[in-house]
Amino acid sequence: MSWFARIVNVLRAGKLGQELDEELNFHLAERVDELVAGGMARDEARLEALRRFGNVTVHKERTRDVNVERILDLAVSDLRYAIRQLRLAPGFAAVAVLSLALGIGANTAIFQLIDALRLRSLPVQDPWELAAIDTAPDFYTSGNYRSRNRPLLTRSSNNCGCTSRHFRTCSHLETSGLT
Amino acid sequence: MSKPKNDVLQGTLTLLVLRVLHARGPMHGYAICNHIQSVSSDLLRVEEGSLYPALHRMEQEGWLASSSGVTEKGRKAKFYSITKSGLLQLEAEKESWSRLIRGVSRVLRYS
Repeated sequence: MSWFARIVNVLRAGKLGQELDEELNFHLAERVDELVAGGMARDEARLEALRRFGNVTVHKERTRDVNVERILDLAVSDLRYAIRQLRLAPGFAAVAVLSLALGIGANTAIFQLIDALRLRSLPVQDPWELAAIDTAPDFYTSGNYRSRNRPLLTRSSNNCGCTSRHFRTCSHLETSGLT
Repeated sequence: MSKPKNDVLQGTLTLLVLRVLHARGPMHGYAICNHIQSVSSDLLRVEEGSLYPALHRMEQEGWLASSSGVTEKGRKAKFYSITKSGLLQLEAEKESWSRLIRGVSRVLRYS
């Protein structure tokens, strides 16, 4: 059986089980027919067929195990082969392992950073109600200027007491060093 | 339940199945089972359930190939046939069987 067929077998384990059921049921049905032809009552023949077959569930599981065991055996021997090949070329193995390690390490580090900064919601009560408020440079502050999305604050008013008074809809204000 | 004493020895089942399929062409499990029994004039009885794990193992080893077909009664069945590597295995098993026979009979005769 080819590698491809084995992989397909793993993926369609349910279908394989069904085929096995069909195969065993066929056997039992044939045996029943033969016993009935020999003059036995059908019910009795059914029992006799099962008795001769032995424990159907056990045999079914053993047959299934044969297929699974084989796949595991192959995986283990492939692993051994891979290790042997790597031993033959330790320089290549070291480079391969090192580049994999660096690649995986860098990916994980960047992901953790992005995850903490952007993906996770901030540890506040209702994160979806958060709004960002920023200060505009001082020279925009004359007149009634508003930046596109952000309410106007001057640097001089950038303290919590002042802005809380200006924005009554906000329940809480946090200052951030990033702005 | 006491097992019948003439159960096929573990290990010889492979030899028997390969031989039967080689001689008779593609067969399904039930036919293999009956064939072994009748050719050996009931001296050998294949434990029916354990035939199937053996057949599947042999298929995994690449000694047998299987295809689904329809019996003369119109039932769907899985037919097994012997492959090239199965033929090689058959020769190897025959050889080791006759060695076993020779060994055992020598011990029986000369001890």
